Amino acid sequence: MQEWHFSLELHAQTLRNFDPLPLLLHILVESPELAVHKGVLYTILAELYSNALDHGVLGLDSSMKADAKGFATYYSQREMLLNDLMQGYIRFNIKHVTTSTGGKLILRIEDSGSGFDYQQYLNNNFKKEGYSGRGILLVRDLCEEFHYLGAGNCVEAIYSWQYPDVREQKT
Amino acid sequence: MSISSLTSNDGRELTIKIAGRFDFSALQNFRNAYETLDHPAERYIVDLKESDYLDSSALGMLLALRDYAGGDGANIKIVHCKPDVKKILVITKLDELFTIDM
Repeated sequence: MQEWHFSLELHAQTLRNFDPLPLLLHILVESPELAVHKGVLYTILAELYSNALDHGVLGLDSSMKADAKGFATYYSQREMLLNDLMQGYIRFNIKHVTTSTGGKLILRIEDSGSGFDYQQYLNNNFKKEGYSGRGILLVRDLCEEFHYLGAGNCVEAIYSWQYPDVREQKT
Repeated sequence: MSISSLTSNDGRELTIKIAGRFDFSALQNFRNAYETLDHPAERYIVDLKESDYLDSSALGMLLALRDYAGGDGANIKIVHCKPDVKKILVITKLDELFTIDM
């Protein structure tokens, strides 16, 4: 698998009890060139998915995670909201293309939420508070490009790989 | 993901092993491993030998353990990190807060 594209749209009933990360990762690592990056790719997918679900679909606020107690409260609220979820969706559009030196994995993830003021968030330089704020920092660091799109309910992350990486991993 | 924990004979060192994906799905089990001891441990080892994947919720869980164990004075070692896992810890600067061994 070298040049491919797939979309997956998950609705409320599915989001309640289905974890799409193993499935998505399984598809990505069908490309041997991507398989050597699976740990990093998992982290990118997990961050983008949890942001879409937690903030976009469920409307949870990360500022709750200011201390250990808030961190635990955040995840118990998440469980409650998810159990009662009646509407909402997350769309994955994932595409892999080859380049002269390797390839690019383009991940576009859109949620049914109303978005947020990402310009202000970007201007604040991704403020980290307590136990939150590291997810997007990670994605930005691991990916060649990262953008918020539309009202902020859609993101695009581009992960690039080059052939020498593959050779290094094999030695 | 599964969590197992072991206290040393003298009760001073607690080892928490994480197998599978390390994320919030076992938040309660992870906290129970260190919060329910009769006497708090003095040293902590988080063994990630069987953990290939982690996300930022795992980082939050590690930070919560660090605060519980005394913050800047905490003695926590993260051992047997896979290269991709170590990369995540370095990017988020957790390598400055924990002792990390591959």
